[in-house]
Amino acid sequence: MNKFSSLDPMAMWRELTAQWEKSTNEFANETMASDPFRQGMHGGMNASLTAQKALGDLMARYLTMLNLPTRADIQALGEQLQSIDDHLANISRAMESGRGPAASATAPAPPQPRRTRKPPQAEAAAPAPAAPKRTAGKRAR
Amino acid sequence: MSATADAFALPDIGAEIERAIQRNLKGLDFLTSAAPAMGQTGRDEIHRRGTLSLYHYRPLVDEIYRVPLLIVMATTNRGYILDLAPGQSMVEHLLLKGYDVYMMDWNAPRPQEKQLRIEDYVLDFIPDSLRRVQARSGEEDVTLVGYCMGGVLSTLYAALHPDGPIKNLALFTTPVDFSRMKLFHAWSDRRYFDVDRLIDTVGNVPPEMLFASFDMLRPAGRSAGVVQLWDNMANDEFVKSYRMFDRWGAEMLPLAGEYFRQTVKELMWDNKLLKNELVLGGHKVLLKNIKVPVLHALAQHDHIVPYEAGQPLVANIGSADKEEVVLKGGHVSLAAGANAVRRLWPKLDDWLGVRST
Repeated sequence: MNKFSSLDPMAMWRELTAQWEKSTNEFANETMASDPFRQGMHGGMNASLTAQKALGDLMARYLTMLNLPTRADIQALGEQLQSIDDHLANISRAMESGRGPAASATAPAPPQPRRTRKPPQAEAAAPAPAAPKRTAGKRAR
Repeated sequence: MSATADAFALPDIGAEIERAIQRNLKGLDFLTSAAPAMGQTGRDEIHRRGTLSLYHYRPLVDEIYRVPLLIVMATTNRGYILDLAPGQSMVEHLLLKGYDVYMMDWNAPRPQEKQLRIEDYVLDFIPDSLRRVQARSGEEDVTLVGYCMGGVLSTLYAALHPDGPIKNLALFTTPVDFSRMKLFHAWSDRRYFDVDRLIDTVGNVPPEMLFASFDMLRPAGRSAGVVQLWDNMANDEFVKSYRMFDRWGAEMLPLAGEYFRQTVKELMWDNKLLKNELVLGGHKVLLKNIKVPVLHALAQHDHIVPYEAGQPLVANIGSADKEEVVLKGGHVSLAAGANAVRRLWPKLDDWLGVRST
C-alpha cells in the first residue's frame, strides 16, 4: 500500500518529518544510553566544571587585588536586598489583611462562597460524618 | 471516490497556494507579535518565603466544595502550565467546577537556598502551606494535588503524615521507581556522574543544564516542532498553543543544590523510595503508610516519567480507595492543553467531587 494518502506534497512532507523525528529520537536515545556516551558526557562536564572553578578563583583574586567586589560579594548584597524586600512584602501583606474591616466601610468585601457544594451524582446522598480535628504537623528535623 | 482514487488524488493547487500565502502572512505576525499572556486567572499570593510562593485563586462560583485543593507544582517549572489561558487552564476549570484552589509555586532558589534539602520541602514548605490553607479556608481537611516532582514531594508528605490533614491525594506523572526513568537513570550513572563536584562548584543547578537534559530526551523534537509550527502557521489556535508551551518549556527554574544532590544519590542511584529505605527527618518513608484515597494519572507517551516508573506507586500504597489511570498524551499534555481538557480534567473532577464534601 502507498505510504502517503495522497500526492499532496505537504502531506508527504508531514509524514517524512514525523518519520525523521521518530527515527532520530530512537537512534539518539540508544546512543545516549550507551556507556561511551555517558563517559564522554560526564568527562566533558567535569572538564568544564574544573575550568569554571579555576576561572572563578582567578577572577576573585584579581578583583580582590583591585579592591573591587567579587561575585560572592555581589551575591551577599543581593541576599541582603532580597531579605529587605521579603520583610517589606510581609509588612505590606500584614497591613492589607489588617485593613480588612476598615476598608469594608467604604468598599464591601465580596461575599465568600458557601462551602456546601455537592457533586452532581451525589446530590441526594446523606452528608458524611464530621472527621476528627487534624492539623498539618511539622515533624522535628 | 474509491480508496485507490483517493491515494492518487492531485492536491488542490489553489488551496495550497492560499495556505502558503496565509502561512507567510501569519509567519510575519508570529515574528513581530508578543507571546500570549499566561497565568491570568485571578489569584492572591498569600505567602512567600524564598523559593516558595503560596497562591490562592479567587473562586469563580458562589458555591464551592468544602475541601480545598492544594496543588504542589513540580520544582523544575513554573506553575502557570496549569493556568495557561482562559479555556485552557486546569485551575480555571477547577474553579468553575466549584473547587477552592491553592498552589505552591516555586521561584528560582536564591544562592543561599542551595542548602535546601528534600526535608525542607516535605517537612517545612508543605506543612507550612497546609496550615495556611487550613487557616484561610477554615477547613481542617485539604486535598493535595502533585505534579511530577511535586507529586513525589506530596507522596513523601502523605507517607510521613498518615494522621492527616490530607483528605485525598491526586498525583500526575509521579515517579516512584527511579531506575525505570531510562535516560535520566543512564545519565546519572554513579560511575561517571560526579554530582558532588557539580553541586560544590555551581551551588544551585543552573536551569540551562536542566533544560538541555530535558531537551536531549527527544533531540529531534524541537526541530520537528518548528517544522510542524510552520506547517500550521495559518492555524491561530495551534500557533498560540505552541507559543505557550514553548515559552513555558524554556522557562525552567534552577534546582537547589542539596535537593538535587539528594535526588540523584537517594532516589536515582539507590532508588530508596521504592525500596522503603528513604529517611526524612529521622522517619522512614513507607509507601504503605498512605491510607487516604489516591488517584494517580499517568501518560501513555510520557518520555520523562515512563509508565513503569510511576506504576509501582498505586501498587505499593496502603489505601483501600486507590486508582491508577493511564491517559493518552505526554508528560505535559496530560495536564495542560487541548488533550487535558478532554481527558484528565473531567476525570479529576469526577474523582475529586465525591471526595471533596
